[in-house]
Amino acid sequence: MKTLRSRKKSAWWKHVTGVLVFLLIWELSVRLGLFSSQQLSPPSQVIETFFAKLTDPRPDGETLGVHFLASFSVTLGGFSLACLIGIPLGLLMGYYRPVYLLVNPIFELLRPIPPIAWIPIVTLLLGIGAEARIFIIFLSAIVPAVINSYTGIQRTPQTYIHVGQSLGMSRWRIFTRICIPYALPTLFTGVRLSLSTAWAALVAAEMMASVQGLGYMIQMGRLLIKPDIIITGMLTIGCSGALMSLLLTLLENRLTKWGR
Amino acid sequence: MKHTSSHGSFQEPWWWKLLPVASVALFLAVWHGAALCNPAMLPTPVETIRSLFDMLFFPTTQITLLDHVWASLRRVLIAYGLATLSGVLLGVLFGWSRNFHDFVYPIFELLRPIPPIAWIPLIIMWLGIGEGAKIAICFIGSFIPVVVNTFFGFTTLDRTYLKAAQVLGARQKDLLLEVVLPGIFPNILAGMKVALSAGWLCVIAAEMIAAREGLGYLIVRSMESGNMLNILVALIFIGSISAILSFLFSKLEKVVCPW
Amino acid sequence: MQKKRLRICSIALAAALLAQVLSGCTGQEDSAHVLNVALQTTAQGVPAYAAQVDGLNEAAGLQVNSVVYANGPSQNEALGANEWDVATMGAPPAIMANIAYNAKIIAFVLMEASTEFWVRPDSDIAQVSGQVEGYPTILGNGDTWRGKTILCPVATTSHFILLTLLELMGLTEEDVNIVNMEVGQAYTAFKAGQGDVVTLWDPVSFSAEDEGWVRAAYGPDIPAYTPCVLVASEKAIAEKPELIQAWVETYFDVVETHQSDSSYLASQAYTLLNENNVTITEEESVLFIERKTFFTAQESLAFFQEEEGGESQAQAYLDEIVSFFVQQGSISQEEWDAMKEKGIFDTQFLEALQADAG
Repeated sequence: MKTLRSRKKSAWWKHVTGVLVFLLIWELSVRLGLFSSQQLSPPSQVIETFFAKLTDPRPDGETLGVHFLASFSVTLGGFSLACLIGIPLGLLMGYYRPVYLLVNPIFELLRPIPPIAWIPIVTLLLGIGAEARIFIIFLSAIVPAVINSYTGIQRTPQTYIHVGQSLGMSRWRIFTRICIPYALPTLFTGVRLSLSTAWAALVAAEMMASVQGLGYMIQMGRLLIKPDIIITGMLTIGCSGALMSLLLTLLENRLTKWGR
Repeated sequence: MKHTSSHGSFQEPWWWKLLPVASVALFLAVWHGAALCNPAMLPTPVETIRSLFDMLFFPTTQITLLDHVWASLRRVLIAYGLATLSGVLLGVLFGWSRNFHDFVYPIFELLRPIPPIAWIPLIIMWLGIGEGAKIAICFIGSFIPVVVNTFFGFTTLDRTYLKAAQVLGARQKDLLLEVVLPGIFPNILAGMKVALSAGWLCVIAAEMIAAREGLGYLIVRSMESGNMLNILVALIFIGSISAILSFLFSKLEKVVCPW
Repeated sequence: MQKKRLRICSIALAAALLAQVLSGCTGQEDSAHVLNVALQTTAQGVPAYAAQVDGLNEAAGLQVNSVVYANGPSQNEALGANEWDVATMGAPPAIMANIAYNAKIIAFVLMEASTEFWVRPDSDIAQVSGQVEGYPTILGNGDTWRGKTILCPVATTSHFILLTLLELMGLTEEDVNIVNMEVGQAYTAFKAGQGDVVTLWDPVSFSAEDEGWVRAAYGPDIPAYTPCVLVASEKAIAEKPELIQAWVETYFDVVETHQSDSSYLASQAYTLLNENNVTITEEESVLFIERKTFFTAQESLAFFQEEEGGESQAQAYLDEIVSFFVQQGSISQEEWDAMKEKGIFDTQFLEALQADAG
């Protein structure tokens, strides 16, 4: 009977093997002609391009670092704004019914529209600068932030609230001392969701009208028929998204530990 | 909807019922005001609704609005069906077979954070700009949530049921069909719900980037000719269909999975 | 375990079948006898369109499947999935098609003459004129153009013309901000106040003056010679040369008709553009065609003849364009070398046409 420890250790080589086999299949499928080199770049090419792009602005006009920073800063801007406004709004909506009644209809009207569909209107009204992109990201990221915030509050068991009431706590204190801490896990799920939504919206916004950024880089790769650029961009986007999500989880663990 | 701030015998003031109406009215008023300030760029709500009816019942273009709607819907439904079937399969495989999970899951985790939209250029290179490409993109968008949620169901499954069944001598097949699948079914449904809206989102994105018909294509074309009316009508449709799909799914959920 | 294996197999089978179906959707059924043609709403596409709707193709026994694309890069994308055999496009996208997919230019049909750069009347570019040496009609200079946001579709003929224009003023792509945007979208965006300079081509550019904008530069004034060309895919040249031959013939037949009756192509252009969401009036379509000089088959072939110095005019034009893109970094030196090796021209169809006629 394997202990958990040794199972985790022996699992390690399986993970690595799986990934290596995948990379091998990928590499071979291009080398053996299953995919032409114009349709798919092998991992070796992608790695080469990745390192080249760290310093070379060709062929799309900027180095990888510049694109990344452009994308990252815009995402951070839109995402932070969405959380700053969305979370308090959602929490209040969950606790105070009038707020919910007032805000929800508009929210439900605008929610089902995919962020990318907003792009034409926003572009026409706000232009093609970073503000327009931040706004689009804000529009898409605020939805999970609000929804998860008010769901989290709603889920607070009535017993907790009754306890607070019997202790003579005011409505506001019940809200801040009982409901909000209880809602934190759901809230954080919402924040994580908000981040991935923001990231996806960013890619869409950059593909449609931008001068730099990872999404723009992918679009250039498409126009210049350079799959290695496209894949480098895709993987950078994926890794960045995953890293940001990881950071969020770490933050969440810190906060909940402290809260306890 | 139960509200935390309302305790037991709390009676809602009558005017609270008017709040939703007030906010919608406010929204329309702001829209109308903005449109009056900027008549070239923004049509009023009234003009938009009128245009919507015109486009629906008196189409002037070769491809009608409903053609576009159906084109988009068709792609989503095909992709969604495929994604659900294969997604559940993969999720079950991940949960059921430790080995399969250890070998294959890292690859899934590597590809998962890439937004479906980022896949679009590559997929277009492989499949051109025909139906296949758009269905493939929606597939990616829908597939991932189904797999993630199905697999998640495994991790939260109560092992005692499994052990009990094993003790009673159940075979692997029965274990899977009778205990595990019903147990993770709520998770599968949750995944399917997310997948549906994800698929709808992806089809619009894919159409905006490369298509010849569909609601997303309509938006992009309208953007090119500066036709705000069309854009707004398309947006209304996109939003409505998204809402209808969610609503239908919720109803379905209650029927299929009442627990 | 058995059951699971069975299930895996059945799903794999279903997936394989599905992949087959899907690839069938994007590929062509019965492709051997049908020529797939990719057009744009540009002048060089009009003769092909005319040949099709007026039954010339039918008369020649040629079955054609025409699709209209938004621009060169879209056509190239489709070529990646083998969705067309022949196309009408500008030289820059043709070059990309050659690098990526070994497509060949089989004829020149006209010189690009429709790109224009417009600015708003209050732009500082509009206030400066006659400062570009040798090109008195160009407004602005290095200082006024530097740092501007220019709306222009990238990797197209217009892009090349823009780069040439910038070079005339001593600027490179780095000195300005080029935003990749389709001409139609760019027009609307510019109207809404975005960008400083907008790249337009006809017929969209016909409305620019009414908006009160000022034309800063006109394509034909700029020494950027971009031929518009007929392109054939590597696969099509190998598998359907007779179909391509027939298509090229009907194309140039239409051009001949145009030489004797210039209103013919104008009316065809009117239908082609309006059907594809590009609004153009009848007067505008006359202007649209008038501006372009279509080459006859003989004139077209002459471009590919080697002159003294060993290089043909066609090669000279191409080299100019490619060297530009290499300078900008969009094309690498290795790619250019590879291009020179495999060649970009295939004159067999023009030559056969000549042989038939002569």
